[in-house]
Amino acid sequence: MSKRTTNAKFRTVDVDQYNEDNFEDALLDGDSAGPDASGDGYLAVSDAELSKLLADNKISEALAALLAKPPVNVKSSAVKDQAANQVLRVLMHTKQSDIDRVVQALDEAHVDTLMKYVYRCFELVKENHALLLVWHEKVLARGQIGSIVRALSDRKRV
Amino acid sequence: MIEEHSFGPVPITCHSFNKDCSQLALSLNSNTVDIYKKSGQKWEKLQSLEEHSERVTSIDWAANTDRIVTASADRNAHVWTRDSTGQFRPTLVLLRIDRAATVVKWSPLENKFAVGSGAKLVSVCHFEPEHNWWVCKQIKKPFKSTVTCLAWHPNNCLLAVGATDFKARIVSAYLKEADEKPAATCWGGNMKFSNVMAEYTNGGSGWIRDVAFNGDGSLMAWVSHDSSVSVANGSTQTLAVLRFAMLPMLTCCWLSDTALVAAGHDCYPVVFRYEAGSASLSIAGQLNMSADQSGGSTKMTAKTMFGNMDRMATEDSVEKLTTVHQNSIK
Repeated sequence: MSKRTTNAKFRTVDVDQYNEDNFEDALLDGDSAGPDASGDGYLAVSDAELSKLLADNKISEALAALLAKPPVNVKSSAVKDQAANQVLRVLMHTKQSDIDRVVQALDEAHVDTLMKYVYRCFELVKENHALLLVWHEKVLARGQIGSIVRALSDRKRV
Repeated sequence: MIEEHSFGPVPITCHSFNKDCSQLALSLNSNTVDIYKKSGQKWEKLQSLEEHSERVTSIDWAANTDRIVTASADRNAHVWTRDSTGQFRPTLVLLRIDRAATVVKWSPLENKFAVGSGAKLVSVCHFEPEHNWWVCKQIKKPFKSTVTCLAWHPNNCLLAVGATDFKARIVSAYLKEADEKPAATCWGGNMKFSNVMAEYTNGGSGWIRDVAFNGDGSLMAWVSHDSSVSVANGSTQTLAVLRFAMLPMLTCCWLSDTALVAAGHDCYPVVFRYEAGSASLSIAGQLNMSADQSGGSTKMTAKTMFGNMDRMATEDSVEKLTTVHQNSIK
């Protein structure tokens, strides 16, 4: 396509937002009951607690705590990024041989959330995906294809 | 016992049987609807209904009054009635929608039908004899997005509606021109037209692909695109949700008050068991009888193996699924 040569700085209004036909996502807007919706100071596990759990090699506990309250309803993306990075730390900290045991010990309800986080971590990691791919394989063995369908279709993103 | 009938290599977009399943109306991903009649083991084509200018999205054959209603992406619906020669002739329907119609269903008494559309509304149509056309009243308010599926309650007045705004709802489609005032059901007493009796979400977010009432209308089931099936119980006011491991289901229907069968992208029907007491759903079994007893993969001769390597750069290829259907069931 040809390069834009004229000045487009006058385009300050996003007309698409005023379209009446746009879908209002009540799922995300109205659903702020629960964890602090403003996002201030909300994290299931603080970074310090997480470091301690990882130092003691309590992978399952760390993961259970993080997966129990994922910031799905929070609007602040900074909080979501922080939580995702925490999960990434736990996933990368685990030895490959332990992954299977940790996945089997998970609560049924947390398997779908973990699958969402595995995909989120694929976005965060620039190289060295090998360990994440093993995580994906083990979670898939537990959650089956249904967990991938839910990870992809759920509008409550982690 | 499975009977297999093929109508060519084109997908069957929608179909409907007449009352005794001796005739079938179907659309093969096109603007036309073909009427077939069963003769022996084969189906012979009786007539081709060609009134729509875009793809036909849904067909419903009214069992008792022998009328067919078709809905299409051309924003129209037509009602077809048999004339004296036995051929179907169309009647005008005024839908007043500005987006494609997605689904159409006759009501139990067959004096009304409901059309769901991408215009975020449901049109409930009844016949006006003085002008020989079908006019509609529209239910707009609760729907935030395209309506994908519809099911009528046995009382001819309530409609279960599933939409792409991730919610399944029960709305009232009571028209005083066509119905007598209905008695209160377990879903509520106020049945003023377009009143929302109930609205459910299963906690996830997937498009509702199909919705179904059980025999007496006290249970509403729906299957959603997040690989889940849910049942709302009007009498106990409970919601049962099952998130399963397979690919999403596209269609569901009740077999009894405790058994629900659904089918979809995994190409075989699955039976679910519903327990009202504990409001729980579980998988009861699957109807996956392989047409080929050897499991679908034929013995690999050297010739086929090298042939595959040449054509597709793989050593073994499974070209045929082990299920009876070779593609998604809708």
